[in-house]
Amino acid sequence: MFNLIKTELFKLRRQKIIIVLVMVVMAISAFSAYSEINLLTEPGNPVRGRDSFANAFQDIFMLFVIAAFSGFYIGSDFSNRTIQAELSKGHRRLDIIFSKAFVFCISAGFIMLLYPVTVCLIHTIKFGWGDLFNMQEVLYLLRVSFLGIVLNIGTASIYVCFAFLCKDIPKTICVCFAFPILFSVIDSTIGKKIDLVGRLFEYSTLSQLKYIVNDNLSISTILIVFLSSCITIFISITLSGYFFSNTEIK
Amino acid sequence: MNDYILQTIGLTKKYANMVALDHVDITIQKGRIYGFIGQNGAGKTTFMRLVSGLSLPDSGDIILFGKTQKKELEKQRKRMGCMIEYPALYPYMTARDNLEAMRIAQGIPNKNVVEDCLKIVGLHDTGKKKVQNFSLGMKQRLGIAATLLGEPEFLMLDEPTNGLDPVSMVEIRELLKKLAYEKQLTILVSSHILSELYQLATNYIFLHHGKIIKEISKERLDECCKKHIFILVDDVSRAAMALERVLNTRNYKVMPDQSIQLYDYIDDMQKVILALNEQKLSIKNIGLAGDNLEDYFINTIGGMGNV
Repeated sequence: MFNLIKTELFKLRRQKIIIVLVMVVMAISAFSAYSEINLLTEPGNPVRGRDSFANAFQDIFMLFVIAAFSGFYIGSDFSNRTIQAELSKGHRRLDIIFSKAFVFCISAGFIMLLYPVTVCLIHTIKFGWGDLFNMQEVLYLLRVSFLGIVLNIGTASIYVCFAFLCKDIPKTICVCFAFPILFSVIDSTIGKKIDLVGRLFEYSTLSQLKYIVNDNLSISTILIVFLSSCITIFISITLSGYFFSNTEIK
Repeated sequence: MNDYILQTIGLTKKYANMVALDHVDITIQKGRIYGFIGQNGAGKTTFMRLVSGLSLPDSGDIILFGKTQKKELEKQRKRMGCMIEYPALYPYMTARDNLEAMRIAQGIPNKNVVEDCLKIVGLHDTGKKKVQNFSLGMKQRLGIAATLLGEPEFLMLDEPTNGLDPVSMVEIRELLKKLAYEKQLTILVSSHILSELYQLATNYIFLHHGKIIKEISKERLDECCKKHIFILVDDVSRAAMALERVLNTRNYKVMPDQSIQLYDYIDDMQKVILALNEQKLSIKNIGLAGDNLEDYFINTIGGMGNV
């Protein structure tokens, strides 16, 4: 499996899509940061780099970027039939899933961090951090970024599952695009009516993002963040394995 | 020592409404080149997909390098090179990067194999050209190069000459023959260009409607297809005497159906007729006969009506 992970990293370096996506994220982040300036500088809404960082974490925009990434990164392996080549060379199906999921989720985790970081950077340069930028603030940034990556990795694993379910580029992108929309709709409708569903949504990696930006985090909140991500990864990889293990590879 | 590379026993694969492979028993011996012949939908690709692990059989066994358990089969597949339907390549990479990615995946420590394989298929000078800009022929050649990584002992190639120009076709054919000879490589190759397959393979497997209908060696095929004068007379023994005494030849065969196949005088049939007439034999049928692989295949599956 180590060889497969090395291959995935080699592939990632050669794929221009990641550069394109990073540039798109930077451009949209900059646009979003500047367009929010007017709104945020209204009286009673003072702009602070710190707040921008916290707010940007809850924006679902990055989920659409990761949708495209999953299609072009994993879906393309089905379309180009390179997965077929890996299988026929004797690699285990689970190893193939793990290697792709590993590289994709970590890359996606970092890409998703770009948006809040860029927005926060622009607002901080323009209006300042908002507080004394001391070691405590650095630790806050590191903590939120780290937990953000942990949760983003969990969310990205759901997209891995979609890619192994759809097995091509367009279907993967469509399903992954629909996911955050459906999530929001179900959360605000069924989630509000049925307590159990609401609770499940509350513990999802997407919902947990709003807690990690709090100034003070309890151990139990941090544990829930890790558990939420781990459980999501476990379910996603198990489902990917189920979809991929007994399937005919076209 | 077991000389069998691959053996399938009762291999069966069904799709929704059809049986793609029906209890297929095949034995592939080491160092030979097998031509896999069949119409579209006969089951050739399905067979290759099952052996390479892309599909799962409904019943039957696959014994690859003597191993049959699922995990063992996965390990043994590392000793194989496959190109099924069309080459599996990263279109956004160069030829070199494609092979490099596959080299890394296979854990081959020697980096020179990439250059060696590119040279073998004549793609060493493609530079930074991306595979998405390659012609189909170039992709096919790169696909073959990819199968050669890691010095496989068994190659399974589905239509490898698809899209190749005549010169490249000859090159690939000669390359495969050379590999089979020099490295004792075993090859299972399917193609619709039977004349090409005839020049490449040492054995032929005919597949029809998911069933193996014939396995034949090249020597035996040549014997069956050899050009000859087909003679049907009322008295075979007297006809044989006439051939030996009048025409002075023993290069003939008396077939089980009491016909004679004469391999001399192909260009002078008149002389044969005169010799038989001299013996007052009644000639029921006489004419030139002999098949090529294509004719032989069509006859084997039961004529054009079954094509």
